[in-house]
Amino acid sequence: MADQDMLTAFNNCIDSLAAGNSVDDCVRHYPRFAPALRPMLEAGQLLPRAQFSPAEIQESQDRVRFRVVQALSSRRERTRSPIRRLMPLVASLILIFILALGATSILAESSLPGDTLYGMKRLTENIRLLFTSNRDALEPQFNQRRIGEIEQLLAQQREAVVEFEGTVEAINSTEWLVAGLRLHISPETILHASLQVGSVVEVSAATMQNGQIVAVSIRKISGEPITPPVPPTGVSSHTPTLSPSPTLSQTPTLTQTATLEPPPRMPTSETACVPTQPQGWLVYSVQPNDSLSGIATSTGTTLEVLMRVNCLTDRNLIVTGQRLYVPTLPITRETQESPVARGTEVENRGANGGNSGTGSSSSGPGSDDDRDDSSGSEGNDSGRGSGDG
Amino acid sequence: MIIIVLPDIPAEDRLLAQARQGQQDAIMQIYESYFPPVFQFIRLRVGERALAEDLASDVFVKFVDALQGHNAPRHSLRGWLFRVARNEIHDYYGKSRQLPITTLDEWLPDSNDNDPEIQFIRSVNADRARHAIRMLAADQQEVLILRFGQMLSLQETADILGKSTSAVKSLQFRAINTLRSILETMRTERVNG
Repeated sequence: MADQDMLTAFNNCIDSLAAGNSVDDCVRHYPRFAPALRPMLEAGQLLPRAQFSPAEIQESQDRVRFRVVQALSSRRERTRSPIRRLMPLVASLILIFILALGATSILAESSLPGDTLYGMKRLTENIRLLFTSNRDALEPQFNQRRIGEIEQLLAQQREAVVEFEGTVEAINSTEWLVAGLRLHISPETILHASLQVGSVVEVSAATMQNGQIVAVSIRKISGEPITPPVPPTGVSSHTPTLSPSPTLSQTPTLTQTATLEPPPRMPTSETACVPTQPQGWLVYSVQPNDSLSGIATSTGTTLEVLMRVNCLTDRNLIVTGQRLYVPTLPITRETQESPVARGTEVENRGANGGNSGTGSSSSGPGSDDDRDDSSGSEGNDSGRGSGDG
Repeated sequence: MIIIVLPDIPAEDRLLAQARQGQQDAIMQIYESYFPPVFQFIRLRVGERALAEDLASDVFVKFVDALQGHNAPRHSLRGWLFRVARNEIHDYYGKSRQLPITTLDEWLPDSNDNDPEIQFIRSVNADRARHAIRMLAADQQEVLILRFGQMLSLQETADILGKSTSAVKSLQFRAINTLRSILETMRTERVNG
């Protein structure tokens, strides 16, 4: 066994390196151990050298961020529902409480998602809804506050989980316009049921420091597309309609995408329809058991758009091997039906592996590293089960 | 050389307190600051990048869940995150994932700056360095990554590994010398091959 002084000298030198000193700086203090210490400390220098580049770390960090945001948002959903159920029982008590804390709730009025007082703000709103005779007028008003809050968060470059309701005004492969807000649709965004322009939806999303809003889930709350009860005040004067005229070009923020996504129109009276590949779309070969609506959902578009672009007339008629233009490659959605697929981790991992297997966007670089790893892990596996050293 | 600097301890405690109050800003700030070191730790241990991402994501999702379940750490956030990361890797691989390297505790040849060993070590690139590190026993990899890579203190490392500081002192000593013996094998293979 190496003697204690040697262990201490080595340990002190590690601390010395961590403080930014050189190998020589430390070894000088231990002339007796210098010849032994030097190669050990040199070998230790391999650890910083072995680290992965900030660019690669950043890439992974961006990919994983979404799952953390998702966990945060599902945490909100889980904690909120019991409060709603109990609300009628304790509402009067809370009302008294709120009156007593009037000053606090006034402060809370200006709070944003993520702030400590924000829960208070939402609670005050829910109580007002409970006691109002004019719920229909208040709800849109509160929703409008949600949208205002999101704009403030974006302006302040803050990351927070947000929720709001609104009408889908435009659908593009990676960007939707809902209630005047541009939503970034990631491959992991959960799209409930068939959504189309005009659907009234509940959106769970996250604001990012770069000013982007990433959609976590979009859920339809009214079955049929309707004109929104109250047009957004001040945010956008544009009223979404379902008329077949290209109203989208009137939306100032979406002019560049308007050509890609004219409003859905059934190609019934078309004389000659020629499928043309919209810019940025990909060719997808229909797989066994695919359905057109399934492909639409999993590629972030709608049945109507898919049919129009591909000149299809029968929504039930696609054949295996048929080539379709799609906005992105489809991703299996089964595991994402429940937003929190935290049940078994193995399952999670499998699903994630499957995702990257479809090759939509994941790891391109680093493949040669992985080749190196595989040989390494084989070697390691052979040693599995041997006792601790 | 890339060194990831963790937030200092007072800043870390402040962030953790805010996160425990449910401030999402703070939670995301923790993610932004601590993902790089935690991922670096996992990535050096785990060959496949996608798997490393899954494990890292589990660490932070567990943190979010812990905040909800009110069993989040009260102090030493970094220790908690690295401990969970370590458990994730162990759960995945099994604790005994290691090479049957014969112990080389006393393998301490004399050397100086012109020593071919030191010259070889300096010539090793990142890929070969990773390869050599992954041939070590799990706890030896961990101690080297935390002490030399993440530059954590002896005490912090001991907390994460669940060992006494004196055990960590011996472990890091054994680990570095085992690493040297692996490098030595690589060097002689290169010379002879």
